[in-house]
Amino acid sequence: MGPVRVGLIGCGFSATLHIEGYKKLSPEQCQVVAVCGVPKETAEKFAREHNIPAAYGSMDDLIGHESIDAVDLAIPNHLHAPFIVQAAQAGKHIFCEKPLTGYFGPPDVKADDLVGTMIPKRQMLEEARQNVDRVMEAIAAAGIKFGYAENWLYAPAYQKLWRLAKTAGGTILRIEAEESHSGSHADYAKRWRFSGGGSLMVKGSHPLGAALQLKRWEGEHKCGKPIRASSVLCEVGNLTWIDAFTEEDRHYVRTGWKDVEDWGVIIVKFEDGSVAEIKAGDTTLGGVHNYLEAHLSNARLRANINPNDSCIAYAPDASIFEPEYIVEKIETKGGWSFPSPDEDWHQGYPQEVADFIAAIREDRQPLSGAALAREVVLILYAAYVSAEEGCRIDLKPILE
Amino acid sequence: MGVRIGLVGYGNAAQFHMRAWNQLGKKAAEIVAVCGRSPERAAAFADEYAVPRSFESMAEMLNSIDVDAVDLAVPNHVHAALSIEAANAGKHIICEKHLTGYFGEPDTPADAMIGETMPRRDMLDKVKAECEAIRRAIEEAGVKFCYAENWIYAPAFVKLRRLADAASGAIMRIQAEESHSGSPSIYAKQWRTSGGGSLVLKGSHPLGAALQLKQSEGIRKYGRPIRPASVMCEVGNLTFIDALKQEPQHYIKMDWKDVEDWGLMVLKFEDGSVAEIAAGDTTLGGVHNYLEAYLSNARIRANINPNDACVAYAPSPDIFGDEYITEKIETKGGWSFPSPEEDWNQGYPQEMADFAAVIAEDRDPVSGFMLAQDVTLVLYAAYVSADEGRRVDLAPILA
Repeated sequence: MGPVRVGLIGCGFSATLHIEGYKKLSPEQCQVVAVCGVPKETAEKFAREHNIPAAYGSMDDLIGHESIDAVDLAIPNHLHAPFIVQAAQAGKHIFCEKPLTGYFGPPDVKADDLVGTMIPKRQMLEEARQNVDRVMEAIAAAGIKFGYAENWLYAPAYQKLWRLAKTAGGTILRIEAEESHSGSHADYAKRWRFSGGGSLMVKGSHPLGAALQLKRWEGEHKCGKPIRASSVLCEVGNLTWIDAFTEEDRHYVRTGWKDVEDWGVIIVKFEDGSVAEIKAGDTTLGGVHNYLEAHLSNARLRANINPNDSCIAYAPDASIFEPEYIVEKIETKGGWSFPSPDEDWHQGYPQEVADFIAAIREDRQPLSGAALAREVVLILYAAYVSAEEGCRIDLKPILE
Repeated sequence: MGVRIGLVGYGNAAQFHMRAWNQLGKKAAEIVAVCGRSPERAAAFADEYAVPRSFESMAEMLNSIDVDAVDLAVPNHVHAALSIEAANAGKHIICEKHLTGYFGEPDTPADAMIGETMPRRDMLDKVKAECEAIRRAIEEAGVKFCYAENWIYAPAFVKLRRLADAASGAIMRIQAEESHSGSPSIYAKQWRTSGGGSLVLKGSHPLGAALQLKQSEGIRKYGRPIRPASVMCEVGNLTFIDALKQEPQHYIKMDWKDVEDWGLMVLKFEDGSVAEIAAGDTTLGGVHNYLEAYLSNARIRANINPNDACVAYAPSPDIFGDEYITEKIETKGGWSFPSPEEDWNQGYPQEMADFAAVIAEDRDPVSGFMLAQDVTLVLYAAYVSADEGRRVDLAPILA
């Protein structure tokens, strides 16, 4: 086939990550033919910066005017579901940023409504489940390829961990995984209305997805069917609301969280009796902290996605390395640091884009697909129910 | 002359306590006698460590000679009775962790699987009553209670606490763990003798350290300790997983009876801060003891074991011969992190130095009764949480 023609929906932070991935592929493999954004001027600016031939003010316009094979949904979480359904109905393959969808408020929700405190989590789970079902039905009915942009699955350290686990062949007894840093800059991450949750949703979805996938692979590899999660217990907190913290005159971690948690732990039990400890926080200093450790019966493996010690630096003064990039969200360039040699590559960004394009060209589903995307959303909301009601939640009726 | 101490017990714990006392020197403290149920073993221990006297029981020892304190290096299920007996005799107490636990009733058969049958809430009630009895005995006698939680004295943890004090930011989150590939002792595998599984036997260390950190933060900032407010916990038996049981070779210890081999407790403190305490008997790679504290203006990690103070590599496991590497490491081949001096690293001589000074100078130990009691009650409240699948409020339990 000819090159895959991609329409990029959105022109923010994730769009930039994705476009860098497309640029690494050859024009024979794929071409980003158009971008859209609101207002249209932002899309035009993005198009100029990245040499994209056309810019539009909406996905409707873009799909109407351009002959494309796939859309790349690099848009805020609360827009994923309607855009997926629309793109699927137009017969386009879809590459979608995580999470798949969630719950963002009632139909008449106002921008400043504190959805996270207004709506019981059990109701959110039910509605998120309906959103997920709608999306899954649209994808299945259209028979398209769906790529879930869970970059952790493509991170080289995680891929190496899985190959070692497969070779060792031991039982994966316990998984520990975390994504934390000192807090999102984006305002929409601080309101349930736009983010669909706090640290667990925005950050925890990565380690959760990677952990679920490991057990899926293990099951498929050993007995031809995935090992799935069976229960979840969760605690969340707002550590930036601690009195002693709020009274401090200088803050190094982000503040201003509205109705979402800034820390959480999810304990997942799987149907074979194994466990996963998934952590996420917006209160962690020292740069982004992304890792997954797998405790097997005959091996122990750790993927230090970021930081890792592939490069180590020291500077007696924070100004010395200016303007060179060190690592995501590090507060100072002084002292010892672990500069990331190529952060996008370490985190699997170009690799996830390459797999999505290859999947379309080879007529197969991408490595990270809709089934995983669905489970991540449902388990996250079940975890929120657990934290709110203070009890363990059985996942069988939710995931079936 | 130093503090005169009567050592109760001659097993594993007694041996490392003895090594610690010996390092300290007789000017600070002197072990004047050892006692235990077997007169032969007590005498043999006395011979080996040059302890002047040996006795068959603590009662006989306290009646025969004059000691300032007893060092209870005995199994957990006798801590409560011996602590009360020592307090009633007016002796200061040094007690191995934990303070106490639930081990069944006096008439419970030795092979009973109480971990399978006894509701955790009933266990918690009994343990709470026992803690209360010990507290009353030591308060009435006015004796010191020194809780031998070595983590509190481990140099890496002490440095962490000093850095946290200097930074003085709010301690928002603590992560801590003790895990390894499993106790070899059969006593660790049955509730009747252990009083619990990984959480009690291993998790009590990181839990104690986390609680102490918040206690001392509160005392420094507000003049009173910050205590835990709720606990959520999950436990599991990872060695019961079918796929693992079918494997031909096991690198981790098997045969756990009615106790968990993995657990995770999530605590919330009264100020809204949190602690994540993990413990497991299914972790390969040698003992894994660490505590990480996330402050509002600093992040500090104490790698008690392993740490990279010494790093070694051997292409074959026989190359380092008989030289010790680190606790519970399965092979000496490949890269390893040999512990240069494990006792020191883990705070054993340091805890004894503090206890001797506490008694000599009449002050409170860094690791004292409130910590011992909170650790015990939080552990059993955590078991209630895991048993009932819900969050447990600690305020009425610790009150």
